[in-house]
Amino acid sequence: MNLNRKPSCEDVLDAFAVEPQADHETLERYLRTYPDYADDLIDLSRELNRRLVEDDTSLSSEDSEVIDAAWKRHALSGSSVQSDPFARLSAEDMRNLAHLLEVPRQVIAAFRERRVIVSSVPRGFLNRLADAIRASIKDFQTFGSLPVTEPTFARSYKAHAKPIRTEPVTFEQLLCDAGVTKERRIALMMDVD
Amino acid sequence: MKTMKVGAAHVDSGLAGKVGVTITLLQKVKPGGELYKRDERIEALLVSLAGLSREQLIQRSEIRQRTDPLYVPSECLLYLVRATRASSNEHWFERLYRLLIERVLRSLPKAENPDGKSFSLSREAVRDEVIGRFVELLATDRQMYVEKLDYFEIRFDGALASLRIDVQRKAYREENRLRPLEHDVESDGFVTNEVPGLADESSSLFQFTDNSYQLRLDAAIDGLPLQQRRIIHMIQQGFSIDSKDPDVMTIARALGRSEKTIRTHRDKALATLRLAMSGGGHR
Repeated sequence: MNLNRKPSCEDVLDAFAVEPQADHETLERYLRTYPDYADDLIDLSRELNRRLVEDDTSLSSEDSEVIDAAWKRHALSGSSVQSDPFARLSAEDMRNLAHLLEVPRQVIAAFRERRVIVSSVPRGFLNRLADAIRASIKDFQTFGSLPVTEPTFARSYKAHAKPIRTEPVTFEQLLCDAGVTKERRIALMMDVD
Repeated sequence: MKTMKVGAAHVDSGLAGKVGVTITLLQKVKPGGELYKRDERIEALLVSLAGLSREQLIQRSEIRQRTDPLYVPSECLLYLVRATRASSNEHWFERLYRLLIERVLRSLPKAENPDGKSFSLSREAVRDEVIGRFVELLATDRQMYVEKLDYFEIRFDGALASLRIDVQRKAYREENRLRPLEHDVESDGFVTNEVPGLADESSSLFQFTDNSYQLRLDAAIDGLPLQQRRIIHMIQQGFSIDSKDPDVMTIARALGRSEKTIRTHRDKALATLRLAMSGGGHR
């Protein structure tokens, strides 16, 4: 939850759901802090205090169909991941990624457009990037060997930084081109995890 | 990101291969700024599970009785599905994934009513929606870390209950766009007088600890109107209906209703529960 905005009901319920104790004191604390969500907090408190019932019955044919459909959906979701770990990342995802890794957005865009020499990227940074977009280092190595792509529409905004090279460059050069300060560049290049 | 290396991180297609995963920290941040953590017992179990062969892991994941010492908690199962996503094209991963979805299915209230003959359309819709959202979270997580799934690694049942309440809330709001609001005795100016002694007498409803009795009581409470259900739960949690002390959190304050309205709803609820439980031989 972000302290600077009012958390959504979903955020509050999730936080409440993982509290170590779902007892009177916890419920009271949440009711005081989030009185607008009182009804849902009480409903959830009841669920959290419900006695567990072991389900020993065999699966119905409907249940099996649900599981089949879930697996098909999951298998489909990975079809583009192997070739492009950046597939399906929205512009907002890219922004969040840049924020998370504390680099300018054009650095992330350069990775997506395969304009970075993967072997020049410090292992620690690559690990963090891979973790954030749910890819493996191997995915990156495969992906990085593919040809450079054209910049996408997401980067067609007016930039204050100077134009970015189109041929693959080293990570350090990319940071220089993106206007990253010397101190930050050193820190990133030392990120060998 | 800090990681803890466990086992060999190699991947092969056979069931004999080790699970071999790297145990990473969760990424969800608490309101205070610190990272959420898994339960220590879950982390310790993950370390030992990483040393199993995939076949052993699947066999253990098939155990459904939570009291079985070899039971794999759903928190661990989810972690392993997330951590081995790179093996999604392999048969053993598919078996693991299917077991996880089966766990979710078994944790959700069934659409069938206890009579075994009829079923609740709204319960079926909520069940379908919860499963659908969980499947989407997992699918998205293959490509972009989904912090919401971290909650499921901390307390799976709780996070699933939270997802269900969220779905129910939205479904309820949708349903009530076309329906008048729940009957409120106060807004109608109709307030039933409190029945003297009923609350004290019926509070014995909550004294029995026998498991089958409690399950029947839970089912009876489930059958109450929403507002009555909330009042009964708060009573069970030890909240007072009202208090002269403005600093005390009471049922009336939490629900934004007058003391009299709460008492009326409570009495109706207790009368219903007493009737429902009267055939159980405990009274």
